[in-house]
Amino acid sequence: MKKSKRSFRVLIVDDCPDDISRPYMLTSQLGCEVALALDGRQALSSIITSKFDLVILDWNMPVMSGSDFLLSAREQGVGLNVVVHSGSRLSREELDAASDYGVVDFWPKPMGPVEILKRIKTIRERLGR
Amino acid sequence: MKAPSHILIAEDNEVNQKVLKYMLSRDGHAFEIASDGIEALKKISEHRFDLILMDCQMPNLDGLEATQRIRSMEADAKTDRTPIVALTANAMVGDREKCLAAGMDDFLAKPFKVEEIRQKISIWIKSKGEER
Repeated sequence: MKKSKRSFRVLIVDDCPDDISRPYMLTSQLGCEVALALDGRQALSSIITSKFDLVILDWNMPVMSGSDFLLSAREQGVGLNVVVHSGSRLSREELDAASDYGVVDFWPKPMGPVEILKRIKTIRERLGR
Repeated sequence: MKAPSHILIAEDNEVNQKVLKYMLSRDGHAFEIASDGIEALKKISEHRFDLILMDCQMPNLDGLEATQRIRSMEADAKTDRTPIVALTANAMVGDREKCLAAGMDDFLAKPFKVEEIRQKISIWIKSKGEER
């Protein structure tokens, strides 16, 4: 008998409903448990109170940006697997810092559904989930 | 402490519904959801709302048609005019005019940010409060 696994939990952090829509639908279709946060601060309180397997993170957000979120998560001692889902290019310094903070992939916006599905599957395989 | 405002979300896209629900509950608003224009009209006949966020493209009865019916219901019943903010999928030239002509008060074209919806909510709920 197949051992039942805990569902793969994803937190999507973005302040634009249209950018949330595609990853939300696709991760839900893959059977992931999906939660939302509309800025970095909400995301921070979510990752402190619950455990997520993957965070899909917008970079430019009000209240607390993606980079400040990563910094604060590290200060809180929360280990994360993060995909940066961004409409703008990241600077060399940002890229270097991001990879130190658990960033496993970069998704340029807009990314097509086939590519998103492929990348989520790859990340799950890599994480053994 | 001001009383929580009561907002109607008329939107057929499930993810947008979820985002709006999440945002409004975080911001302390009370709300109802309608997934199409017919359901929106039903909710409006049952409750008073401080604001309606209305998607323009919905099945059964679209946002423009629903707004026209709401305005005529309000006129017949001689009730206050509820502010309606249109949420439109694409900002085509003339969309804004169409929305305003249908009786909507304001307009937000996708892709919008959550902060922009917050601004519209505070503008319309505040200006309504000032009229009293």
